[in-house]
Amino acid sequence: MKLGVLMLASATAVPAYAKESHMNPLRIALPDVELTIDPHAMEDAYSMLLVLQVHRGLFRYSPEGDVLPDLVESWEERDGGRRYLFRLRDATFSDGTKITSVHVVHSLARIFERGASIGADIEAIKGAKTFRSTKRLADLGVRAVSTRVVELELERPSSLILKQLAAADCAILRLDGDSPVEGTLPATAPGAGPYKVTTWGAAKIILEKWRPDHLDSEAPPAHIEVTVGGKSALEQALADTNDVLDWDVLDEKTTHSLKTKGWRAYVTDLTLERFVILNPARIPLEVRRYLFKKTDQQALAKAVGKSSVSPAYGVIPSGVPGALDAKDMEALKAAIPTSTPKGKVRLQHIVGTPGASFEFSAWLKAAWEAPGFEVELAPLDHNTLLTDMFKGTGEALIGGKGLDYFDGYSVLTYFRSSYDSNYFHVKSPAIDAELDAAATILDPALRHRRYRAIQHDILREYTVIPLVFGGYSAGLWSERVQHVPPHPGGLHTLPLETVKMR
Amino acid sequence: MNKDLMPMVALLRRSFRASVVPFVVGLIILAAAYSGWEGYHDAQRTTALVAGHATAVATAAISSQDLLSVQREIKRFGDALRDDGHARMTADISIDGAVIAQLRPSGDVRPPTIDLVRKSQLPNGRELIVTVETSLWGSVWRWLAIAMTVSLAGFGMMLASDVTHRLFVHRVVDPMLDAVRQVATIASRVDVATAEDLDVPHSSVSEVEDMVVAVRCLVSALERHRHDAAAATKALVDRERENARNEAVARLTQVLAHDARKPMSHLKIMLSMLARESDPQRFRTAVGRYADRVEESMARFDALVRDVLDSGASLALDTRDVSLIDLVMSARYATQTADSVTFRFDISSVARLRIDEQRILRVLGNILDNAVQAMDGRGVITFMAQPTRSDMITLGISNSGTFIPREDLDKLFTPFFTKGKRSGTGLGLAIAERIVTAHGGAIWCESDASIGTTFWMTLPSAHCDWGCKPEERRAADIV
Repeated sequence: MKLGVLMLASATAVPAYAKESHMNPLRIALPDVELTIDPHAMEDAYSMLLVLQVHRGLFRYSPEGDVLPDLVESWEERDGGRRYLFRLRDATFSDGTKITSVHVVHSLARIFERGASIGADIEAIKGAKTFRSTKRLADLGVRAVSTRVVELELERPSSLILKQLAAADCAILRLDGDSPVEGTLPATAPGAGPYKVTTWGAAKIILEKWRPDHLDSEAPPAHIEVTVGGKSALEQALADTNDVLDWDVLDEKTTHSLKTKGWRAYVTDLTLERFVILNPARIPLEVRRYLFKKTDQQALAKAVGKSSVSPAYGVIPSGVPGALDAKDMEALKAAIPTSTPKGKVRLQHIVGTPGASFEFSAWLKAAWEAPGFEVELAPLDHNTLLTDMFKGTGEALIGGKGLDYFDGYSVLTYFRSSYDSNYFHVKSPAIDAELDAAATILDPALRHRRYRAIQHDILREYTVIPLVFGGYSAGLWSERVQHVPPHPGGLHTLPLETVKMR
Repeated sequence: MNKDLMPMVALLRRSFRASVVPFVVGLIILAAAYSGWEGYHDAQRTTALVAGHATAVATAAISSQDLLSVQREIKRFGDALRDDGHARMTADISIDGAVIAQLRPSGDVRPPTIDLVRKSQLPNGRELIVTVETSLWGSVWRWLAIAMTVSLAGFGMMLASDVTHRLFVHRVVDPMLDAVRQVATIASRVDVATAEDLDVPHSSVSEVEDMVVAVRCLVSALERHRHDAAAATKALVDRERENARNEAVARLTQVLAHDARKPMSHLKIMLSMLARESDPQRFRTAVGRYADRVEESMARFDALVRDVLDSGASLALDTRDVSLIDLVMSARYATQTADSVTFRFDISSVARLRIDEQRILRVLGNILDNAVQAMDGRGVITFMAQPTRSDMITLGISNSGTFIPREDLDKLFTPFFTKGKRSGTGLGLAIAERIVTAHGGAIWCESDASIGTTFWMTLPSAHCDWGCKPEERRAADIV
């Protein structure tokens, strides 16, 4: 039946499915950021939100973060976890092209060719390091066994490979030609997701639903209309031109206004972490340790005053296996001598969003300052923050990060020294070795224990100070939306076809 | 059966033996006496006949004065008598002492004979005397022949009875006696008693009675035996169960002791190494390496202890929503296998389960451990899932190449039942059943020599917040 629907959709100039549902677009207002639909080039959560709707991989995540088979029908694990065989289900891209194992090989190869951050996670694929330099597909342990069967060979067993393949970064793309791993992906390139890009502009992006999906709600959005830049999301929400607010903690007055308009809250962003990044090139170890010790996560979470916000004691979100707890943080702080350095630190932070009720920078300044030690606040915009983070040019930055996929390892790999996405200034061969070793541990309990040890090592570099986890940002949806599943990973992990429109 | 065959036959046999000679003798005497009596009456009748005829002839002759006619008539009369069967007699007819005629129908008369005289008065006043000598031989002979025939018949009957007796004894009584003895023996065996204890009479009036008594004894003994056997069987089962329990407890204790020692010894080695290690990097490496081992062995010990605790106490489940695939993958990765084991996943279901994850992981772990042990390091383990009802999911784990006999399938979930396993407490599958049942599900096993063994279980599906019924969905007021 599904095949029939898909064939009909691909054979008709104007898909019948899209014709039926013009009436209920979901409107999302995003800040003025440089968005991409290329899963191997995205570095921000907004792009990930769009990629997730347009592209699909062998596996996917449910709104709750469960791994589900997507383009895969069944699979086998052989040779003690060193070899996988994936059998593809019958599926097409939005232009009607049948998805084959060649698309899978080319798409996974492109991750390494483009140096995408997920490559740090799936380095266990055999020949990945060699392929990054040779660019020869024969060197990579991904092979097309037949049109519908793909073989994936690993250097070492990995219990994370399915979770990693379910990440939006591992989307299967419609790549053809003799040099499939080269080139950039056009914004309107067909994908395997239930939405396709019909408009891609600097200020407006429109996605159209072209096929049903097995996670569809009863009334999924027929269109997703994204406005980029311009008025803030909150202003657009109050003006009834935005249906989603995902980033801001709102004051009581604003909250009341939205509630009056019929907005509702759903569980979201529980895995999002706020942290301070300390640049060791600019801040001496003594100061970094002082700031680390002086940051009381419990007091901070209490000051935020939201039940959905919890103290962050490590880099793996609380509730995710392998997370640290208060005792770990106490032990880390106890090892730091009590002394106040002389000097000053420059804390960079995004300028407060209108209506936001809590300013982390102000709270930190109060907590850190002491006689002889000063904290200077330096406001900056979102794009500058990203630039400073990735180029390592900032001094002390307040940043945020969600999960790429639902395993603590997805956070830990950000601390791998060999990848650009490591903006935490942790360059430790010992930690790299620990990460490699952790990936080989198949028993989840043992692996999670190793995660804890790795976090201790990361935090002892004193370049990152955990602050809080969770939805200090609201998951607010307008009255035009009837239902949204809980999505603890944040909006960027939510398949929008699961949203039910009125 | 109130009348016995054997005494009757024996009585007949004894009676025949005891009475045949007197009977024959008596019969002969009787025959002789009867033949004498009959001969006498015949003689009387013949004498009367002769005398009457002679008188008539003589009277007629007196009238005619022709005495010669008397002789002729007498002679004709004699011939007639002979023709009538009265040949064995002679008669002298005399008048006044002078014999006037003699009858000799068949010549000599053989003894014994009887003489009878009949006198009559002739019309002329003269006395006619008829003297008849009749032979008794014919009658004696006839009756002796009858007696002999009867005697022979008696002997024949005796012989027949003897033969019959022998045949009866051989064909009926002896087998019956054997049967009695066998019954008695069986009774004695089943009752662990002697035949005497069973009160089986060997010299009673009849074998049939013996048989009846023996059968009654046997029935009684069997009845007693049935009760005793039931009691003995129960005692034996109890004893075996006790032995099995003791053995299981001993095995469990051994396993617990062994697994408790393992982390201790790892800790000991680690501590001794750490005490000698001064380099921080190597110190950390050593800690990391041994901590994993300690953790692993302690986790195994902890799982064992939980097994023991769960086997006795009531289960308080700590349920939450769990992804089916995450659950399956966790179970798979917690299972150590040889490289030659292939795992196949036929799971297209997007379902979530509402379960006590740790406990269900133990269930899956137990099944997988058993499968891996049974496969001897080679083959395919397949995970399958399909929705059973709207609120239940059926999860299957199959392994190739092993077969569980039908008679063992029902025992698999019995505590302490083990077969062919080198280690283990025998509690795994029993606890698995408890855990699955506590979730409101069921667990069962199917095994086929050509396919392998599959464990199936039904588990409750979780509340679904997408692609599910509207009334099940949650929404929250803005906070």
